[in-house]
Amino acid sequence: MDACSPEWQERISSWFDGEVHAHERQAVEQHLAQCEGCGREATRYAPVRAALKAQAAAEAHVPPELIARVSRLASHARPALSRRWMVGLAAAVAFVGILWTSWPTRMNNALAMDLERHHLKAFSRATPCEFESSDPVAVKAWVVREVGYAVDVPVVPGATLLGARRCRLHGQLSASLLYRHERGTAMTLFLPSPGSPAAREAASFAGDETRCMQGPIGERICVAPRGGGHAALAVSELEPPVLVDALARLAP
Amino acid sequence: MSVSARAFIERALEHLPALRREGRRLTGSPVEADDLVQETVARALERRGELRDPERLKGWLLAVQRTVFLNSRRGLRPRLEVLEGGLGKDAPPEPSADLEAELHAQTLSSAMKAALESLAPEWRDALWLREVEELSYEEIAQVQGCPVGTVRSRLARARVAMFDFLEEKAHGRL
Repeated sequence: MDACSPEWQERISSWFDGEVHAHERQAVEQHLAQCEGCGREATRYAPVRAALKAQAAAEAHVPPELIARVSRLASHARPALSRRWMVGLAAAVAFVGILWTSWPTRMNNALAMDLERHHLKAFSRATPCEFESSDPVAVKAWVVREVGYAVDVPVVPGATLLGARRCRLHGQLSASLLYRHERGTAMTLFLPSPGSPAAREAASFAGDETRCMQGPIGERICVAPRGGGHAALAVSELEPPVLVDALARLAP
Repeated sequence: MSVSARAFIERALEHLPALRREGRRLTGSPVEADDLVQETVARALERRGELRDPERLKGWLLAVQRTVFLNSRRGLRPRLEVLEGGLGKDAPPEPSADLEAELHAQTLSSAMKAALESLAPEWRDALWLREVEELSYEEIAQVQGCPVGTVRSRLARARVAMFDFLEEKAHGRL
C-alpha cells in the first residue's frame, strides 16, 4: 500500500468510486495534491478497473437460447387477471366439475416452481426430450430402463407424444412425458414414482379428485390422485379441462 | 398476457450479461449459470412489484439471483436437475455457444484473474460488482446483505490486496 494510512486509503478508494460527499471530495483532492504516497495510490486504481472491464467484455455474450428461454417467461407470467378471463375460466372449471384453487395452496411452492421450470426448460430446447419417440411402448420401455419404474404412457387425443425426459423432484429421479398439442402448445405429464416425496405431496394436494392451480410462473398445473400416495401431474399453458382430460387417459 | 410482464422481461434482458457473469462466478458452471439466470428472472418477474426504484433494476436482479442461488445451495428448496447422462451419471457439459469468448477470457489476463481469485470472496464480489457491473455502494450492500460501510471497507481492502498480489507477482515472489 502506498497510501499514508489505511484511513486515507479507504477515503481515496471511495473518492475514486465517486461515493463521497462534496466536502470530502475536496478534502481528498487537497490531500492527494500534497501526499506523494496517496497520489501514487490513486493512480493505480484506473488500470485495474480497465483490466477488469476488459475481462468482463469477453464474457458479455449471451447465447440466443438463453435469451429465448428468458423471453418466453413473459408469456407465462401470471397475468393481472381481468374480470372477463376470470368469468370464462370459472365457467370452464364449473363445466368439467374439477376443483380450481388459487395460489398459494397446500402444495409446496417449491414443487410447483420446479414443475414449471422443468416444463419450460425442456421445451426451450431444440430437442425437448432425452428420448424421442411417438410410440408409447418404446417410451414406456425407455422410462423403465432409465428411470427405474414402470409408467403408463397415455395416448392423448389432439396431442402428439414427443418422448420422455428424466428430472429430479424433491431429490428423487422422476419420469416426465412430453406432448405437443395441435396448435403447438406444449404439455408435460410428470409421473413421480409411487410413494416418493413429490408424489405424496401432490397426492395430498389433490385429495380425492383432480385438482388444478396456477403455478408461480403462470402455467396451469393439474394433479390427479392415483391412490396409495401416488399422483400424476400435468403442466401446460392450456386450459385446465385439457390437462384434466390428459390425466384421465392414464390407466387407473 | 400482462403488458407489464413483457416490459419487465425486456428490461431484464438488458442485464442478462451481468446476470450470466455473476451466475458463472457463483455456480462455477456455464450450464448451471444459465439455469440460475432463468430462475432468477422468473422469480424477479413474480416479485417485480417489490422493485422500488426501476433505475436500480440491475442491482435488484443481482440481489434476487444471490438469494435464489443461496436458497438452492442451502437446500431450502430442492433443485430440479435434468440428467443428461445415464441413470446416476453426472450431466456432461452442454456445447457452449461462446466457447471462443471463454477461451479469450482465459488468456486475457491470467495475472489479473489470479489476483482476483486470491481475494476473500466478499471482497472479490464487491470489487467485481463495483468495477464491472458499476453498482453503487448502496446497491452492492443490497446484493451482499451488509451495511454500506462494510462495502466501503471491503472495496478499499480488496484494492490493496490486488495491488500487493500483482506487485509480488511482478517481482517474482509468487
